[in-house]
Amino acid sequence: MKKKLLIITGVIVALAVIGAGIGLYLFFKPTKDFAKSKADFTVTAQQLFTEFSKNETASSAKYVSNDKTIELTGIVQSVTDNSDSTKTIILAVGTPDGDISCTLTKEQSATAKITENKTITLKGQCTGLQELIAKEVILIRCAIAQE
Amino acid sequence: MKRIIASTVILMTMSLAGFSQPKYLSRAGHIWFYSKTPMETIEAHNNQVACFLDASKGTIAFEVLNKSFKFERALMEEHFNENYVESAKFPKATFKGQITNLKDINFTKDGIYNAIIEGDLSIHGVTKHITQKGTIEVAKGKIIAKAKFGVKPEDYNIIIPALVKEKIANPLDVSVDITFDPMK
Repeated sequence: MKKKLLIITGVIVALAVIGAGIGLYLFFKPTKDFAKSKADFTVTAQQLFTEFSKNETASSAKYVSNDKTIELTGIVQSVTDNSDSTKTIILAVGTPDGDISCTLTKEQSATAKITENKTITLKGQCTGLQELIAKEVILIRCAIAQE
Repeated sequence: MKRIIASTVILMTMSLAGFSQPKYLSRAGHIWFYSKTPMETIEAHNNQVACFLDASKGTIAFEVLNKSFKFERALMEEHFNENYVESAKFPKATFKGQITNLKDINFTKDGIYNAIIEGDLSIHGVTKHITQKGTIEVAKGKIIAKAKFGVKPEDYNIIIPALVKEKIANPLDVSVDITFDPMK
C-alpha cells in the first residue's frame, strides 16, 4: 500500500517537472531561425510579386500564415543600411510598379556581401503586401542561401 | 543676349526648385513598441514601414504590416499576432494625418523643429483620431520624423486577458523614427 502511494506520488512529481519544463521551454523559445529551416516554398521574386498583386488574401493565407519559410531568388536592385545595424535588400520584380523588400537578421547583415544587379537567393519569413507608396512584398529575418 | 535669357531661365528654375517643397518617402521607417512592468519587458521592432510626407500640404501617412513586428520570443509574437492584433484578419495598421503647425517648419533649412500631428490611427480594425507631438529634423535634404506616444490596447478593442494584464504596460510606448528621402 505504502509502495503504491510512493509510486503515484513519484509519477505526479515527474509529470509536474516535465510540464514545467515544457512550459518554460515554450515561454523562452526564441523565434524561428530561417537560416536553418527547410524551405516550404521556393519561388522567384517575380512569381511571388505577381501572386500578391493578383490576390493578396489568398497569397497571405498561403505564404504569411504559420511563419512559412520562403526561399526567394531575385536580382538585387539596391541595399540600404538600417539604424539597427540590419540591411534591407530590394529585389526587382520585372515591373517598375513594385518590388520585394527583404531585411536580413543582424547576424547575416554583419557578414553578408551583397552586389547590386546580381542574382541572390534568400530564405526568410513573408509578412505580406504593403501598398502605400508602391506595391511591395515584405520579407523579414532573412538569411542568404546563395550568392 | 540669348545667353543671358538662357541663364536667367536656368537661374529662375533653380531658385524655384529650391523653394518648392517636394514630397518625401521612406520604405524603411522604424516603429517599435516597448512595455516594461516589474513582471516582464517586451519590445518589438518593425523597420520596413512605408511612409509618405507631402511637405507643401503637411500631410503624412504610414502603413505598417503587423506581422513585421519582430519579438525576441516566439510565444510573445504568437500572442501578439493571434490573440491581440489578429494579423490574419487585420494585417495592417495605418495612420493618415496632418502637421497642424506647418508654418513653424522650414523644410529647406536644416534644423530640428517641433511638430504637432493630428490624424487617424487605425489598429485592429478600429480608427481613433489622435493628436501627438513629435519632431521633424531637416538635414541635408533628408527629413527625419520622430515621435513617441502611448497606446491603450482597449482603445482599439484589444482585450488583454486578466492573467497577463500585469505583464503588459498600459499604455504601451510606441516610438516612430522615419528617415525620408525626397521622391524622385
